[in-house]
Amino acid sequence: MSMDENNDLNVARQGFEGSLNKLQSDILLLGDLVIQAINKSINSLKTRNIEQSQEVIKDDDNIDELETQIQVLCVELIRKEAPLASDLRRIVSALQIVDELERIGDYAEGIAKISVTMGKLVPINELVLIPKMAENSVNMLSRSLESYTLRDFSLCNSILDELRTKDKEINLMHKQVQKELLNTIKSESAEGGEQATYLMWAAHNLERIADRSKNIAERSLFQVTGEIN
Amino acid sequence: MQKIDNQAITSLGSNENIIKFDDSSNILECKNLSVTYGETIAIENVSMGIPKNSIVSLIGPSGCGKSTLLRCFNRMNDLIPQAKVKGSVKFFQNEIYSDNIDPTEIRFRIGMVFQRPNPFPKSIYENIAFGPKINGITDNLDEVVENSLRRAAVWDEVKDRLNESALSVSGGQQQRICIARALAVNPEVVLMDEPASALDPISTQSIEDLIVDLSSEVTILIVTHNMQQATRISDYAAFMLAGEERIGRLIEYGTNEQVFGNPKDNRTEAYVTGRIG
Repeated sequence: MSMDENNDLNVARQGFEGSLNKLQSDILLLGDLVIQAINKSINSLKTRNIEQSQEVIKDDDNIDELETQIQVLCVELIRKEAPLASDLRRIVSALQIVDELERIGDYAEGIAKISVTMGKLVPINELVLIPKMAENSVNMLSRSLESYTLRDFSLCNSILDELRTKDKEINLMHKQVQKELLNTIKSESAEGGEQATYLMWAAHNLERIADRSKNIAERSLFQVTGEIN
Repeated sequence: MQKIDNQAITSLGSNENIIKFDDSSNILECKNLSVTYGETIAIENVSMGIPKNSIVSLIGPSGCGKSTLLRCFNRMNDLIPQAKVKGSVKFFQNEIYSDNIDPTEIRFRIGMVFQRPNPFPKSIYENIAFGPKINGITDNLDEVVENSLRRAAVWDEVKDRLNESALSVSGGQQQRICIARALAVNPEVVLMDEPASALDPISTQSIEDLIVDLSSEVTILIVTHNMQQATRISDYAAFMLAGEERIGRLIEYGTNEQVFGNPKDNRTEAYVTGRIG
């Protein structure tokens, strides 16, 4: 089928098509908010900028609100449009992805809360590998959202493979961070041990962000194949 | 006239539109089937197998040849002047268009239910007893009538009104009486041409429940414009489409999951998602 024919076909349900496009742009907007939250939470942890940490905690309400709006739109589209085939897959994957994004937002908020709890304590060892873990997790999240927009089997499959490899790398980094922080807890002062415990949780949150980014890539592939793994 | 042997069909050839069923048999199949009305080609080169005890939906825009195809399976097109059928239609591996096959026997064994309920202007009892009587069955008619009405899930509603006109009950009940009438002669297949399109949602639900219940003993081929209905009840779905030349062709035939979940052909995708049709 030619591109022109595809365009002609879309004219038949313009309103519905418009809503599906809005659904996609809302999800990408939510993704942007979540990426900003992760970057700001790590930056605030690194720079000890408590005000910025509190901003992340406050902004999480916006993420939750947008999540609800997207869910309401999905339910409305199912109710009004009785979607089938690719339309149904788009809406189902949107519902799954929005849930993943909201949880990732919670992990960013969690890191910001850790930062607030740490107060004026100065982080140890330049946060060990945590900034690198954050950079890789954000990169994974961006790639998973790119996959969501592609709706192409081979491209989505290739991104999923890539993210599976990156997820393993982040798991290894997480283990390395845990090892180093445990050594700190064993050897350092009480203050160093307290910092290390907090950072252990921050690293855990980043590891979970990577897992959920991989999940988004899986949901994006579902959007094409309709197969639930 | 030759009697039809109930032999199982296990092999269907290699046409890509045919579903291959490795472990099950097909009660009906057609191969390279074309129908013309005078100079007009209605459907062309349709090939498909209907697995026994399945529910198969025929979907597609108006004018794509669904009803024409449906009517080929019990030789109802014979009754339409100028209609000419080419190709093969087999029922239990017997070529139903061969000269030595009695079309009346075919129509008893492959019953039909139409879009609008069409009970005879007789009592409910007489409507159901009509087919068996023609077949020479005179014993246990009461039992046949009750069983047929029970199988069509309408017995409880009409058991006290059997001698009233079949036209005096609701549209949904009339349609189930028509289904009971078709079932009274114990068909192996029932062809249904939009059986619920003239009914309200509750009656539609009753007909859908009935179709699913019946499929344990009868094979059902149903034409429907209601995509959600086809999704709810069918095991397999066949999508037909007529192009600019207005000739109906089978575009895709597959499992319910395939056709309504992830169609292989872009035209099927466009139809089931409401972009064409």
